[in-house]
Amino acid sequence: MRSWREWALAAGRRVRDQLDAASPLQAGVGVAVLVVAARLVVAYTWFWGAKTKHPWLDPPFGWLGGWLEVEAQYNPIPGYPWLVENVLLPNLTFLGWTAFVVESYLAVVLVLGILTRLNGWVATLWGLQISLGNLGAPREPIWSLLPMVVLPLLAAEGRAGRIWGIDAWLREKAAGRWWSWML
Amino acid sequence: MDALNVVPTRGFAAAAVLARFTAGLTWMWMVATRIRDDWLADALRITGRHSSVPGWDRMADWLLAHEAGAGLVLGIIEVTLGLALLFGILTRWSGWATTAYAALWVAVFWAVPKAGPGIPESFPVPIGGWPWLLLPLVLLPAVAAATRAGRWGGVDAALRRWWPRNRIVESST
Repeated sequence: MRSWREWALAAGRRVRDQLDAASPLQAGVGVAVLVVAARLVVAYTWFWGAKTKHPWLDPPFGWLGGWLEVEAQYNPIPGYPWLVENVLLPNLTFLGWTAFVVESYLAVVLVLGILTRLNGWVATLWGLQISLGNLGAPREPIWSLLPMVVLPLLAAEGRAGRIWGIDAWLREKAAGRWWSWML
Repeated sequence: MDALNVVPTRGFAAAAVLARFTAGLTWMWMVATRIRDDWLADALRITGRHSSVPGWDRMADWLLAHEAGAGLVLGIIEVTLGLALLFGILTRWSGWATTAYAALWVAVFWAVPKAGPGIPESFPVPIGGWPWLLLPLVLLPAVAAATRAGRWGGVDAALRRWWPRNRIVESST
């Protein structure tokens, strides 16, 4: 009888072998253009996010507070409504500023293609937490949430900043350095 | 041209497969919720009134007049594309076909406001005015097609093993 650890390792090896066996990966100019488009759409998404809930709106942070109440009402994840009502809403100013800073940062670095693998992963995690929060909310179907995770992942793992981005210039400077994985 | 080549890593392959799944799931969701909530007529009325595509108002009226047939045809198209992408079947063809089909709907919905006259509060599809929501509908199947994402864990991998020199398999997977 195999332990769960052996089973998980074997499953991981199967996935890895399948991905390896899939070569040659089609990754020519067409794919490059699409990966850059993914990067720009993600940048636009978070530009829109920062623009519509910035601290200088009236009320401050725009729709953020109202939307958190919707999330608390509909989210099916155990404990999440409690988290919203007892932690997030009472600290809306801190949360709003955090969201504004993170989303403005992501918009700028992704549109310019700076350290895109690192920042693409940051955007993936940011999109993941927002998608989890939005689960179950009306007019937030799963297909509108998944791209917030998949598109930044494509930009990150497609190294989209090396194509028409600052990373193309940084690449030479990063060669052999510890931070070369970031772009 | 080297600078325009994406690094073919395992991580990128996994991301492309996720793009394929998301694109397939999207259209299966459209069909499933249309059967459950019957929102096609609402969608046609809303886009007929607000869309900026020339002639769409007349087209929407015509489709509304033949709603049952239109629902059936759209359902068949969407189930075919959705299943093909979910299972990675002829992904190059099904991916580009989905891209073209999605582009039509994105064009129709592009200028439709999120709220306004004739748009019910309960309308289940988040619509127009949000390019960041509409653009992935086109981008994700295009990525699946361009990367031939069905070769990873899809039926295409098996097709390529069984008929390695078949011209149709070669060009469609």
